[in-house]
Amino acid sequence: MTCAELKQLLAAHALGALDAEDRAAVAAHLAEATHEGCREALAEAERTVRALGAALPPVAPDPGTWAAIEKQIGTTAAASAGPPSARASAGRPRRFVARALPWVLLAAAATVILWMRDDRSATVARLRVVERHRDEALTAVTVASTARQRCDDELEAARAQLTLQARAVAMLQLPATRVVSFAAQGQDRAGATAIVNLEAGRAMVLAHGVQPPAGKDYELWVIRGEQKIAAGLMRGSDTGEFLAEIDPGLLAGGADALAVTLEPEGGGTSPRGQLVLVATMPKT
Amino acid sequence: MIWALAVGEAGRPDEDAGLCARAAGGDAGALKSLYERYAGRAKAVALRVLGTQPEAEEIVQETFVEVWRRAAQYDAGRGSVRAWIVTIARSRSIDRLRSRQVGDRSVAGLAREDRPTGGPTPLEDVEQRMERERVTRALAELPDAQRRVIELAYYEGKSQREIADVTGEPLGTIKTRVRLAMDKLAGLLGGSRS
Repeated sequence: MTCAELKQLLAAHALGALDAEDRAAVAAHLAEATHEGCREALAEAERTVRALGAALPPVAPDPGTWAAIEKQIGTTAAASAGPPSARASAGRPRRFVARALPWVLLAAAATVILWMRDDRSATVARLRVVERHRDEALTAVTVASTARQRCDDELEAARAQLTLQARAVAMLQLPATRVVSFAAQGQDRAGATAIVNLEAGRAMVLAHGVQPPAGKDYELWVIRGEQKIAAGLMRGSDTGEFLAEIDPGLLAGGADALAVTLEPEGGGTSPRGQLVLVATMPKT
Repeated sequence: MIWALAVGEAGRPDEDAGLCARAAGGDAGALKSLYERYAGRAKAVALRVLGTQPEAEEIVQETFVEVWRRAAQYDAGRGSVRAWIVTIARSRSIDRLRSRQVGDRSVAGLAREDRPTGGPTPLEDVEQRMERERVTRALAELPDAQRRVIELAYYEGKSQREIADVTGEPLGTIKTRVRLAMDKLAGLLGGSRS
């Protein structure tokens, strides 16, 4: 079999539609040492077949299916479920409190024990130690409190994100909503998608890889003719995700496109930095 | 300034590959994350091939048990984790279909678009929806006869000879049709890294 003959069979091969005889011939040819683009052609055909798997809308499995899988693999995911970052932040306040509490208890116990003794000078010296321990405990408690505040802040931010996500999902349910990809304008790793509903005059931007270099910020722009209107900085989460709604007032006069640039930290009112992403706004 | 649109690539290959590596190391939580992301895809393919909910559910189970056992063999160079999982689900479904040799299939429930609990984030959801629309559009652009041979081969696991039997057309015609259909799909889906 020549390479040209093989290529005639690769489409059916990738689909799994060859008869046994042809399948064996393909395998034998692919095992040969030299080729004229056979492996590349096979990879292309396999890519196309894999893409077909995306044509069907997902169907939710039954609630008990995961439990059945766990049973079969003989382990449980309960202890390690959830993203590592979530586990870390959830554990943080408990860790600080756990560190602080023994000191508080130690200080209290030491105080009681020492007051029962009659050795005043030793007691004073030890009280100083106890005071130091108490100070350390209070510091630890303060740190725990700060951590708690940080957790509260994170929780509030998460709630705000959830609200935005709910709005994005609600927009997606509307029949007039269009989803538009931003086209990359260079090698930047950031990518984005716009959810646009012209009837409602609203647009949201979802982005990933929003992790600018130090001293830089991504900035979003609404493009209308020659006008480039600043629509806000894009500051992503720890994992580089970003979701925000564009101020409807900026879209009220119409928009030809949305663009993202990489600006000096803090951004500006007109783009000066490198153009990273562009999306053409739908007209209907 | 380039204003042309580029099709976004769905999924998060690096993150998924990381989950796969963790699953290979015995982290059941990582497998669960993959399940939450892609069980719906696996079930959709199984349901399309087999046509019954209970069997599709069993295929989902078998698929993720296989992912658990073979996670170390996943090769990122050959495609995304999502495509790998869907391929496993499809292969298992076709094996089962062949073993029961049943021709009639119910397509009830195909229109459902439930999201598995803890499933894709809105961003993933948008990306998956875009990808689905893109593939659906590509399939819709094929002539009916070409689309039919792709469906018979992909979803029903039929060989070209079996397709010729089903359609009553010469084997040579079917072979040509499969090739043309795949060439056209490759062109329409160019740049896909599923």
